Amino acid sequence: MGFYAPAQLVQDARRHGVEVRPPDVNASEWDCTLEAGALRLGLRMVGGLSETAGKKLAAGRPYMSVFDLALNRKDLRALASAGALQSLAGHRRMAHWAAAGAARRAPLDAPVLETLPVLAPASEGAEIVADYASLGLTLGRHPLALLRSRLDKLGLLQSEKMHQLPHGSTARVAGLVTCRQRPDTASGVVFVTLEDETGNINVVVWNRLVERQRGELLGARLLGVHGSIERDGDVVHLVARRLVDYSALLGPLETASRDFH
Amino acid sequence: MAFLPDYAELHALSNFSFLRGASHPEELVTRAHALGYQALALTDECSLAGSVRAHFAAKECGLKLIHGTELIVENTKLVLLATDRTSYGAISSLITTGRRRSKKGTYALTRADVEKTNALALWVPGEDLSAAPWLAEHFAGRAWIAVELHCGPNDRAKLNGLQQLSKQTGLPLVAAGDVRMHLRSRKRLHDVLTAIRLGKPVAQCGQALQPNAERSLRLRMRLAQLYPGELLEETLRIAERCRFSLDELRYEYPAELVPPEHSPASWLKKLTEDGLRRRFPGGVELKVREMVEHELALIAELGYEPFFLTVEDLVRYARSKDILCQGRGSAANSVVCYALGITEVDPARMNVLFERFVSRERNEPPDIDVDFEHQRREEVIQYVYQKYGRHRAALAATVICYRPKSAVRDAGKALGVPADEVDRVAKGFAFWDQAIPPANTWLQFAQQLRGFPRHLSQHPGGFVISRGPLAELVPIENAAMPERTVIQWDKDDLEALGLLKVDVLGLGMLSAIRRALALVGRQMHEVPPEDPRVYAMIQKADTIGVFQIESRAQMSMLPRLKPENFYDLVIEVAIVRPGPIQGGMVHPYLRRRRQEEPATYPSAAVEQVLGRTLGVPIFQEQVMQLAMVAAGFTPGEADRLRRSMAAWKKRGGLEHFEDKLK
Repeated sequence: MGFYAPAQLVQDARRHGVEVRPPDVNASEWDCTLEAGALRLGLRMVGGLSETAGKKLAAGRPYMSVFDLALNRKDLRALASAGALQSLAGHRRMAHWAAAGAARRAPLDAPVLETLPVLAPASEGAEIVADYASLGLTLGRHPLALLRSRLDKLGLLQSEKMHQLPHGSTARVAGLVTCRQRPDTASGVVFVTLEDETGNINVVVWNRLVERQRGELLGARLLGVHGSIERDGDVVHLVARRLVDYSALLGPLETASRDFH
Repeated sequence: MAFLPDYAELHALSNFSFLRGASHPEELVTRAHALGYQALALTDECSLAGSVRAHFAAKECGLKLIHGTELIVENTKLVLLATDRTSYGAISSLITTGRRRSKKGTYALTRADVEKTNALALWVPGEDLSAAPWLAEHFAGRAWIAVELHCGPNDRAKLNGLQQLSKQTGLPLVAAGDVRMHLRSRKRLHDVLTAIRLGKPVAQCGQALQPNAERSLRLRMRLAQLYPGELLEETLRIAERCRFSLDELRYEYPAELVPPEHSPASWLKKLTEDGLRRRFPGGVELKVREMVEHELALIAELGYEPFFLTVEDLVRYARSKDILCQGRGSAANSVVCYALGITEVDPARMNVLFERFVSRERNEPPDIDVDFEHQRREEVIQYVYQKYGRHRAALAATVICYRPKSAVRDAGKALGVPADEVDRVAKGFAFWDQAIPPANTWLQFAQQLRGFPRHLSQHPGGFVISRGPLAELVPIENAAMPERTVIQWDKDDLEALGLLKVDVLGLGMLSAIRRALALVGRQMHEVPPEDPRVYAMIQKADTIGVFQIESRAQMSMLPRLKPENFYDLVIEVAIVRPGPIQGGMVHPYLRRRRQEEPATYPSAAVEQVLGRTLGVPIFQEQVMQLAMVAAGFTPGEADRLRRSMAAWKKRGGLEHFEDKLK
């Protein structure tokens, strides 16, 4: 809905000092709710969870174990992938193990008592990838924060630093592509919005560069831009001179851009 | 060219017979006219979806257009043609029956369904000849055997056989073309379409491909060589009997909204007066009173009362269920809409201009857009179905057409291009690409395919509601969503014919507002107006997620315009639009706002119009008012000027206003 994806709205809320809590079967409603001033993400954010199951879950709290949830394998997997079983089973890998054991079985298949193995939690990067895959956003660090040392070596500035540069200076930045726009009124100019761990960057790509670097412009999920700063009061744009596709640095991270006319 | 026989083509499919026809309806019409045909029947398979386009193309060039449909009924191929309004309604109802009975994209009809239809019938005999006695019985005097010769190996034998059959059955013969394309050169595209339909490459389609290009609109000279003269003459006699035109369709509003003791006009007046008392408890200003009288008079003259009543009824229902809703757009120019609770803009505070909304000159129904809370819109839709019934209410269609990417993909597959190659090339097309460079045969096909209709989908919320059975006006078919039905015309078709649609649109932000208020336990009216802290955030473009001013373009304007109050926001939203941007209005306005240049006016009358925007026209209403006060336009003329300006980029045609403006 609207111009922004939930990832951008949640980041904006957090930048304004709003605490955002992850979805959890023992705390979330189907919709997102307020918990004493903090935003609790709803089960509707969990990719792959059916609405019926989600609403039933929200009505039947609290739960003592993953078995209590009485859900089918698909819904349990969706919850485990989202990290929404934290309060019952711990981190994602443990949750997946528990979910695999609790999936409803045929009536004759008696529950087996077994000791849970101790699984090491996934790395921060893997957690973020899993967050994006399931929720479309992360409440952990921004993916680019993890890549920052490599981006530094490539001479790529953070959004915050770029915004302090004077009019006319050159800058190199990179960010996740969150929006591409090509309004009919702008005679072929494409506006790209990039996002990094410090904020957004508004990029202007002129017609000629659009044609020359179409592949990078349309294909990149992590886009590098070399360009010059255009400043009009508080409004700052980066006019692109060259585009670089750094998507390979993201590995399996799934990001989405909204593209408009 | 007196030796050329006259001819009317009675069996032609356009690309609205999806993946069967290889030409747009308009192309068929103009080609038939260019060939000097007396008439053309558009007979898409179980569909009238292309009929409105064809109708207007035919009116433009002056060709007689016949409406009909091709149907397969129990292994028998028939072409039904409409003679008058009743038989058109019967064909439309028949299509509805067949389509509603079957899942999206298919239909099922029996002889029993068809025999009730009082249309003319052309029978295209195949292997199965059992239909002959049935036709002779139920279609006596209005059934023919269609002779469709396509230079096959046995045309002569076919003709002889059909002449025999005619003698046996008493059914007369008539020539027909089973046309699929307007030009012979579309044959290759037709092959590609066949391949897409069968889901295999052209090279593997074999006998399924047409052996030649004869299923095109053919020269009359050629027809004269192929057909006996009397078969061609018979086409004219049939065309002569088909006198129905879409111009005869008259839309009738639902009647139940008006209590029996009232006329639509008196009922609308009563509701308006009730509303005015509610809106202005202290009494109605003279200015507002005059506006109401003016509006009601114009509404009555154009007969639009039932439309206002229909929308009022929906809004009243939504309010009674606590569903947030809000009228928007040009309806805000109407005091009647304000009184009825459809819009919330107080006309006493604004310079409203009713002709922007309804005008005599425009001669087309007004468009009231009402947004309903996205998550509860379905309740309003179900209310419409329940109140008027599925036989009287249905959603308008949206014609889904081939876009560059899908055209490249389907054409590539049809030509047997390897899948990864298809993928690679298709991905090279951007979301904004319109044209496809004709680099090779594949892309040339794709370019021809682009814009071809592929299937009908449902419009996001445009309802058509009628007094009698809707199916007699336009066929209704099943949508992909269960429990949804759509008509076979889209909103442009409806607009062109002057049929009314009521928009029940969903707006996510209204749901967000309702839920946000519930979360903090507040009511809408408790939100303080004009809170300076809010404007402080807005001026810094801290507006992610704020309706209307969250887009990137709006966000880069906010720190320059620095809105301080609600009216500034109205200007903010209006100025980041194609008109003010391309008209060069933005910078003069910003300069005047920052007091870097004085706001000047050529006359006091102009100052009246442009005062609130510092002498720079920003709203479409101001363009109209300027033309009125400065160049003596009538309100209706001013609206025509506005519309021509809006369409100028597409069509041009502002020159004739120039003299008047000078």
